Amino acid sequence: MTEKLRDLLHDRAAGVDFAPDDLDALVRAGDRRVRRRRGLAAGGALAALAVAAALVVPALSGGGDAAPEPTDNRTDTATETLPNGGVSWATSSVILAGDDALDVGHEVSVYVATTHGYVFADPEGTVYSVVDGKVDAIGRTDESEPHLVADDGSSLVGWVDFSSGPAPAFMVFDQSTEAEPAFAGGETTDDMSAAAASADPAYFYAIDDGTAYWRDARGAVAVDLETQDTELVDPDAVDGLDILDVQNGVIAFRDGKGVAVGTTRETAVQLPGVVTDSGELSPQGTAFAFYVDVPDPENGGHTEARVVGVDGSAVPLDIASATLSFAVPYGWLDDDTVAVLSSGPIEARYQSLLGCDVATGECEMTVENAGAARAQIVLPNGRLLR
Amino acid sequence: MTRRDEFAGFVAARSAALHRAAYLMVGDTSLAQDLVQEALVKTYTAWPRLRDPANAEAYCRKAITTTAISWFRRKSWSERPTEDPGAGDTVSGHADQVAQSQWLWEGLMRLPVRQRAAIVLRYYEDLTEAQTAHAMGCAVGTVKSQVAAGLTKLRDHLGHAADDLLPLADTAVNR
Repeated sequence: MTEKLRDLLHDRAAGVDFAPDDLDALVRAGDRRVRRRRGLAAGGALAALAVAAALVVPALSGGGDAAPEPTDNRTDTATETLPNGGVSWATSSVILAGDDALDVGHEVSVYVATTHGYVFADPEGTVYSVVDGKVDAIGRTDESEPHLVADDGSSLVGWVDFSSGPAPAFMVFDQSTEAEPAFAGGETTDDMSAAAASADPAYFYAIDDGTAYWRDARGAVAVDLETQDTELVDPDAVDGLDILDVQNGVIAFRDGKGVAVGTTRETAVQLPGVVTDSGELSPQGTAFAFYVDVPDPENGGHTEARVVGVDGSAVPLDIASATLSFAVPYGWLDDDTVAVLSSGPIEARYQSLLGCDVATGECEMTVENAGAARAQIVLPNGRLLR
Repeated sequence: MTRRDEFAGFVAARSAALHRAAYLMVGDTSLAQDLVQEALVKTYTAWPRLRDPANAEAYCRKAITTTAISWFRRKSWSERPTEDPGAGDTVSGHADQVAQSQWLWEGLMRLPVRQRAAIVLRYYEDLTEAQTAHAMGCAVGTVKSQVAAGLTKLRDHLGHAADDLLPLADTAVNR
């Protein structure tokens, strides 16, 4: 019996013709990929040097005096530009991307990357836009709970402004234009708070393909930023953790049972074993990356990065774990590659950024040295790294 | 011999077989070609650490399988296949080999991609359960359950003709 199945499969496969392989094209594509990875890894080392330079040069140029305070000018002109669209991270007032590092003149609390540059908030809650080395103050957000959202593959960024009026305002900024950030709508009251986990917050969940998702007095709503058409996504959404991410129209809903993904809460499919209050959907909404703390009372435990397909299948990632190590997903480099911050083992000198292929589970370093192991850094997901 | 020469030898020797297996997994010539191209680029990129051509083939097969599963996860999200409840009732009239092959093919294409991949790897590539598990990036137990579920669905699709065409799930060779 088995032979008949085999024969039928062989007959079917043998009846199909394929075009010959273009070996040169394969090799060129492979070489490009190798160069890109080497470049990114080398970029980490160079970037670390750039950080040192950025921190050291002001002290030297000041003749031993304290480094100058950031100016209050609306526009600061930085000395270099940064590439867009690649792996990036930030520490202190420096954003690092590829081989380049840019001192933006203000400490970076949270930031996001767009197709045109970067948008960050500093510890005072001022929101800045960084385009071609130019740093502009463009708005305000909550200083203790800063939070930015970006629309992947676009120039749109959103945040909640808590200081410009009596009630919080949902703001959207298109970095590709010279236009000021715009009030994007929403129904808020003056007693709404900023913290995601607080009762009754005004919270920006995400921007996905030109549609903003936020929580206001109505619950979770989706607002088309072009037409202002508004859809009530979840009237029962009570806080900023009811929706964890939105990508390609797929929403990651969170409730007391865990995380479910789908286009509505009613039809969303529960992801088995996923209990978390943060995570990242892949760009096509086909997989969800998150981290779990694995307890070990005797040795201290560790934190693991995990990826689950929306069909519920677990995708094992080849990241070595050790006592007190951590691996935390912070975004996706493309639909097949999850970005992970990894501490390595306790004796590791540096923490690294990894790109993990969810098809094979293999991980490669995208930035070898992202600061000393366990040093505080900022990653481009718009959130504080806790 | 340079890395390029070694890779060229591998492509010349194994590309046709890899394309055929990819075609059985995705059911579309162009998609299979794209899948194999992507897997070959990944294999070339990983070549220095693969060393042995046998490792290269296993790596490439794994890349094909897991990439196919990944692609179909995306596709299935927006294009879930519709069920045809009457399909299994009409197969008894198709006795000749061509019709059987067509019915089997249609049944195979209706399977979820992981079940289809498991059946292709086990019964076309003739891999052991352990090798299939490696190619799919899953546990051996998962391979067993995926194959059994796939054969059950194929049996339902084929109706009476399944007795002649399909192995019984519980008598499949376990290696």
